Amino acid sequence: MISELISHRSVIVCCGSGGVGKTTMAASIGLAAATLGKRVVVITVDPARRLGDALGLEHGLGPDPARVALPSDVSGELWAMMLDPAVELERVIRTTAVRPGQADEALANPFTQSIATSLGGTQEYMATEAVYRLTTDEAFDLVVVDTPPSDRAMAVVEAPDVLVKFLDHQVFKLLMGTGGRAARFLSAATQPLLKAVGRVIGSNVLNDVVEFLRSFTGMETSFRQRAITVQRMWRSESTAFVLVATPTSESLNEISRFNGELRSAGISSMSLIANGVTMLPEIVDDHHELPPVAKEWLSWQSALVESERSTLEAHSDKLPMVTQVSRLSEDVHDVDGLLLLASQLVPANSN
Amino acid sequence: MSGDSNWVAPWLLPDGTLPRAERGARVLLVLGKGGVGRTTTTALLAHGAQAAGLKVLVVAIDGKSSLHRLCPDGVDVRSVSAGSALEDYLLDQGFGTFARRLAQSGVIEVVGAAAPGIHDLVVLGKVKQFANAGQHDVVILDAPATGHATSMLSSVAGLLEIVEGGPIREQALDVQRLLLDRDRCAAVVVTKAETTPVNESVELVSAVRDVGVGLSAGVVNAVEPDGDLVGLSSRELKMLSDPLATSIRAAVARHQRSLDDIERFTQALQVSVLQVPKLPTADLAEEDLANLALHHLGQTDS
Repeated sequence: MISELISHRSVIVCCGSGGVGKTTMAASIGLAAATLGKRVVVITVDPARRLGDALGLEHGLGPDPARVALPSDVSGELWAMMLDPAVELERVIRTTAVRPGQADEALANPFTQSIATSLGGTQEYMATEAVYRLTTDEAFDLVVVDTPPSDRAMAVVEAPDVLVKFLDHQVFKLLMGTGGRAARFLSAATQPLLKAVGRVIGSNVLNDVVEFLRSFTGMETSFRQRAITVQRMWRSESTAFVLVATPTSESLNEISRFNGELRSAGISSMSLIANGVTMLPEIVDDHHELPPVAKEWLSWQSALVESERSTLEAHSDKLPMVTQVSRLSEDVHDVDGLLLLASQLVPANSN
Repeated sequence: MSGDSNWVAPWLLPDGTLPRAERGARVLLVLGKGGVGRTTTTALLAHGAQAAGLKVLVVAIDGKSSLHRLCPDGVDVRSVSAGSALEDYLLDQGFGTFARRLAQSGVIEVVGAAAPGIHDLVVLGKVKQFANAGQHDVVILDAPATGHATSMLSSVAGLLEIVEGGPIREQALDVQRLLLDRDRCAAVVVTKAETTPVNESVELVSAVRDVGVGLSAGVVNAVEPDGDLVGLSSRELKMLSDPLATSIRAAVARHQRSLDDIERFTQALQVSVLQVPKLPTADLAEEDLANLALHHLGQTDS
């Protein structure tokens, strides 16, 4: 169950499709761990300001961890930050530059900023880098990651693999003009390829791209090594994946599919949170004495409760262990609301 | 019901007439934040359009299999993936085997970053191609979630600024012509009657206006049955004991908030807003949607 993961892992990755309450769940997991005395940092990639608002961070979330004010009876610490791919890319470039001035040159290229935000996979890779950096930071016991919606969450897991593949690809080496005599020989062969690209986007754009890639010459080796280290982190025993879904067949089908993808990517540590489960109020009164309107409303709710129960049941063989979180009567918009959710994740007696 | 000529569905065309393939299919872009039921609404509109006797094509991005399950027989469902759409486009442009090589090497991704929006453009290009093929009266696109959807629509104008000539520019001009044509294309904005989704939908509506795309309707999805409780008198409420009384009071309060949210949404849209009730099921089926379409998507004009 979730409470077990919270006490024993050092990285928890929250995944799920949009609108299932993934960001809120990541914050509650962080808070639940803080109530157990852990020093936790939550990193979100969701640009919506909701997490910052819910945590009562006045100036929103920045690219560095900010400490969240918690009630005095919480013994641990909770920090939160938002991924800024451009800031993260700059950090990576500065630590991997191989000659003086190279980082500044690479950063001065107008494409560097647009690459950080719009190159497929870059944002995801930068998220991976940020998580890795936080795990090596002694100030934290646990890193909780709020990933982008599940159609792109897989990209976070695969980002290091994609980078390694791209760096190893012949075309990349040719674009970089590296590889000595063999490359010069082959570069003639790629001319038509480059021309083809130029025909699609215009040769001026292409020249800028080549210029951009060449400004990185010499940095590939350390980029590659770093990517391989990060690749291992996702599959390590101290990392757990928490899948978040709503108790509907559509959401559960989607998360089952994602669960399968994670498995094929060699990740086996998964747990599921069914968020927003409908709960029936306990009825003390004799059902027959209720006003008809209330009776109808209750039977509608009971039908939904029953349908959610059987839908969860029907998916149970395809999904990892489930923790149910009941639907709250109001949107979570502050630390108190998050504490209510956290108490559902870590029952008080499990301390 | 099928082919009923008295069926009026203002979300299809503003004047209440029905689109016809010979004049070019009507394209509906279904937009909304993740989790509000965009895909369900897409299927619901497909049911409604088919009930109006139209030939319907539903386009899903990146293969959402549930649309196949939720749409009625006779509605065509096709999925388009950004990556393969680009490959197809390059093949169409006569790039032959280079297309695959480019796509696989990752070079095309770098190129995509240099010309942002190229993926979105090829996807919209596919939709345009379907709409102009003359086989369907209406083409309904289950667009990606909010953030991405607006960037998808604005990417076309963005590309036109960067790319000065060549096939990409031609394609972008064609797609833009379709998007801005009020007779051919409109957005349907989906939300839930809750504060955060409505806030985001209001932002979405203004983004859609900025791009210049017309709005055909708003859909408030999964409206809860809490409104029924408003009929309870305060005397009846007092007779109830806790915890039932507390949950009923909470439900009534939730209903009041949702009315405000729906009002804000309606004000922002200034086109007709359809309310679709939530059903007490976790496993919505095709028959459920057929029923909802029948009762909540249009009225019989007689």
